[in-house]
Amino acid sequence: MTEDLRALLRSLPPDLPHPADRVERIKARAAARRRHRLVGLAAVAVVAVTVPVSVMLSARTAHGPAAVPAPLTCPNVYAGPAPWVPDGPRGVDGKSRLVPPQPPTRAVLCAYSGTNGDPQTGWLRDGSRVISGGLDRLAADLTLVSRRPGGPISCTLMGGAQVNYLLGLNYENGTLWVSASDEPNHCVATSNGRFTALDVSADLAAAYESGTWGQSPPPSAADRFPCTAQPTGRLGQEANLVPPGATSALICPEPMYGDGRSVTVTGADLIDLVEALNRLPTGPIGLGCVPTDDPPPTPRDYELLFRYPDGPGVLLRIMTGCQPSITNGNLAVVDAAPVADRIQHLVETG
Amino acid sequence: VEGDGFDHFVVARSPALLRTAWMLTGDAQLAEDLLQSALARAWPHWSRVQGDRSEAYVRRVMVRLHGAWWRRRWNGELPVAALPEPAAADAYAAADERAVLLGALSTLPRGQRQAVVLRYYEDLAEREVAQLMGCSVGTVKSQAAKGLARLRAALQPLHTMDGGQR
Repeated sequence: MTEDLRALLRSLPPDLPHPADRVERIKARAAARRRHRLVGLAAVAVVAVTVPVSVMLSARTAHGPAAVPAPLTCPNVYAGPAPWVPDGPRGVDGKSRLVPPQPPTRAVLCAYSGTNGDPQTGWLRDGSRVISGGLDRLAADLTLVSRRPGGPISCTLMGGAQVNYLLGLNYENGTLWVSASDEPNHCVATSNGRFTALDVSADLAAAYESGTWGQSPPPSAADRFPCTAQPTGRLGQEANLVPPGATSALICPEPMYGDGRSVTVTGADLIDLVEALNRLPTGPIGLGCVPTDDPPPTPRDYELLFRYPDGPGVLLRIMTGCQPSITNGNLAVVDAAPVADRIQHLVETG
Repeated sequence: VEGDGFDHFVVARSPALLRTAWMLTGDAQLAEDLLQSALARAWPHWSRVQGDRSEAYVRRVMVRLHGAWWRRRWNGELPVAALPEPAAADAYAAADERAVLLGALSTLPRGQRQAVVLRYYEDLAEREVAQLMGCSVGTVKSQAAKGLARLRAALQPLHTMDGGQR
């Protein structure tokens, strides 16, 4: 080999970035890897105890070891109208949930910018970043995101900037892409190619900005609008107005759903409130508010945020002068009268 | 003690290891990922591998991981049928050569790429390359020779053009 070719080879690597927290990232990876190995060993131990030897022998030649997939890399082009994903879920369940409940081994975020007036395909990649922390919380948040309603959805038609995000997730035995779009009308679905979910673009935008998952909203925003300060839209709210497991509820009355009079409900009051709400007859969500023929003398509007130990909360919007009067993003209740007095009582006594 | 001296090693040796990872992958993001994955595997065993053998150990893990990723990858960069057109101006000749060489490197099969990078970029002995790749010295020789031949073939049109102009 001539020296000139050798020198040419040595000149190839560009100036490469060096993250300041590389040591911490490596140790976090090592810890996550150790946890996965322990889980795997535990699973192997259970199988070894419970599966008869004859079954093991007969199955021994049927399956090889599971392949660890290569890290997903961002496509250069967002090649379809949003939501578009480069590939469907592989080796993991993407049909019943947006993402599996277990934390991914790696997460990469890709961003593609344009406007919602542009042709909606062929956007070039702006950038990408590997999410370096909070992967446990990422799984907890996204695995419980609610399915998007199947019927027509009313959307505003504001023009403006749009960022299509692709979240590439690697697991021990599979991969999965999630697409979400941050645009002025918040009306583009989130999808993994099999499961279509409510919009999670705000979470992805925050993660892209910070490089980690699960940054808290600014305290000022949380203080002013406490009922909408956290992600909402929880898996299970397609079946129940308030899915089981809520640990508290926050009632934010109009005006502005946040003038300092919000009330927290827990314990027996919470149980009673959830039961009362879930007794109401529900139907699919409609296209917005139709004023009632016989409006109440004093219309009372509220936002109710139900919180859970993990994952997104559930946000009920209650407008007593509308039909439907209550919506949770998936289900609607025509008449809020059976619970309106109870909620107002909680506000006044809280 | 687990991890003793590890932080210092990462700070001191990451730049060089990252460049090697980039030569193997051709992508800054994948290179960082490859480096971190290799170091994450090495860290729990650091008390046994630290010292003179530590860098060789990390490098071996990196090369083996690269091989595993290559075998299992589902998408990534695609080899191009035609290499970039060489420009005529002498002022850009070096940049042209680098671009062509980089393109050609990305089209090499995994074994040839590893052999070329470790033997001629890292300047390791054939025996060391064989240990890192987990193959025989004969395989290293043949893989490196085939890889070099393809790189030379890719650069040949540029040299022919230069010769014709000068």
